[in-house]
Amino acid sequence: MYILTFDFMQRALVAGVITAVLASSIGVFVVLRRMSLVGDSLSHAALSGVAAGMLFGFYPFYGALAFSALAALFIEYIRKAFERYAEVALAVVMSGGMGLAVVLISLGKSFNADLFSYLFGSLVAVSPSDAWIICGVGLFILLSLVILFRELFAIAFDEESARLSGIPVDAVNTYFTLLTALAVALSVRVVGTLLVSALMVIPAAVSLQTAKSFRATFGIAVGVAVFSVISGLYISFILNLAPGGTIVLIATAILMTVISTKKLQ
Amino acid sequence: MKFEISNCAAESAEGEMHKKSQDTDEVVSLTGVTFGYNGTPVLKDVNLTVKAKDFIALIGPNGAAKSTLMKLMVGLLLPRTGEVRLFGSDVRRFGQWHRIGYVSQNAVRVNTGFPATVEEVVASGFYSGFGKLFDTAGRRKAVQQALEMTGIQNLSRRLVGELSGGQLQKVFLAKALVKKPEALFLDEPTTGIDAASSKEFYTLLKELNMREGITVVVITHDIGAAFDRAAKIGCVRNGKVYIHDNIDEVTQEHVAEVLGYRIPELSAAFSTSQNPKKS
Repeated sequence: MYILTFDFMQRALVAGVITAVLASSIGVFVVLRRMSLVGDSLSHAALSGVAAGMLFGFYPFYGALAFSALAALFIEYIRKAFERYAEVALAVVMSGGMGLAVVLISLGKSFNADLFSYLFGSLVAVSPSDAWIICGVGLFILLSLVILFRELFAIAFDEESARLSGIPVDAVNTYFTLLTALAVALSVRVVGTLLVSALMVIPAAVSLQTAKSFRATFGIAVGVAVFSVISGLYISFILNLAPGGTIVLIATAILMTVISTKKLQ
Repeated sequence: MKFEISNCAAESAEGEMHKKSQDTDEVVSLTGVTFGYNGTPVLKDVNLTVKAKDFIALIGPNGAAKSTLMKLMVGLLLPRTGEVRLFGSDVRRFGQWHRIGYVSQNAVRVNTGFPATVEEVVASGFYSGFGKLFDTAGRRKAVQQALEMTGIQNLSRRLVGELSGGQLQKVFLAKALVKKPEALFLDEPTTGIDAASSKEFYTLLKELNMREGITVVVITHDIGAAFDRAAKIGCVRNGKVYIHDNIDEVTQEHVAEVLGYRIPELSAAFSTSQNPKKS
């Protein structure tokens, strides 16, 4: 455990575990609502926020938070115009976010090396202030999820019935998308914008294959995500690999093992 | 043909659920309601009243706007013109959602892969607002009662995805019943399930109507079950709704006219329905 003697590694682990819990918890609802691509859409918007920060001289992490939150509101806005085709909103925001990011990156050619850490995650990238932001905002997101758990479950299961139970479905949906945006932006430092979506979807996919109740679905998803992040960070430190990619590959291996085992049974 | 429903099933036994306030015996009323999609009206100047303890089966051909009518009744859709009142309140301002239970048409199709147990799904119907987040004791009791009423307490730990269509429909009914509603609205609840399960389901609805005094409005293509169990028939066709107070006045020829086709196997149902003392 000598890797814990490094300050940056301690921060990376704390930030990683928090983002794993957040991304996987939100991921369960995202997958059940058939919006698995929402993480990709928001992370592309977060990337444009990072690029804007680098170009205009404000802290890129704040740019990621602000741009992904705005993108979340934009998704809900477009979704209302295409009620039966929710994926249209995701595709529009994903390509729009990527387009804006490419334009901003091309305007500021000098920040390509720093941008790399935001694209694929970095062990040394989590600064002390990043760690505090991740802890604070992460706690807020988790608290919101606990308070809204029943509402989110009811909406994910049957939106019309939820509406007739008196649940303010539109308000809860918008708030949830905003929480997703914040979770995506927080995850960017550890796993990177291009891979954050995997941390949401893959643990949820594993739990859907194995869980015997909704409570267990959450437990398994969080467990898989936390295990993938801790082992991924450790292996990436030892082998000098990009942490985001390593984490996602471990989670994918777990999913493939579970699917194969189920098929053999 | 009549446009207004009067109260029936007044002989219902007093049940545990029959304890709600009697501020009005009108559950739903539609007055001059017109509704359309993309400018084309599918319901035109509809007037109808559903009274407490009614058991109404709504029938009609595909695309007759039966589901639209039910969504208007419960406030999921709002009329372009006219007025919808739920328990005496304008549906736009209605807030007593615990008084109605709703089972949507797509419930079974959408949710078969959902990773939740029967108990978790039924409990999700018990929503008492943000302030009652930790009302676990009351919730557990209500869930247990709903499971018992629908006879699925032995399935409580099973995943909903493992159930048959008939069992699943009882789960959705239990979910709608968990908040002890005064009225149930069901949109084609027996679609895709076998005849025996369908018959059992309608018998259960009839029991809830008679024993607990719950008003039931159900859209169905299962005409035989509808005539066997419902007290009134509502025909939805060409944008209009015709309610028959007396089921015996509805002939097989009339049903064929409403649906646009004849159902040979209805003879048995009609012979039963013409019996004034059917159960």
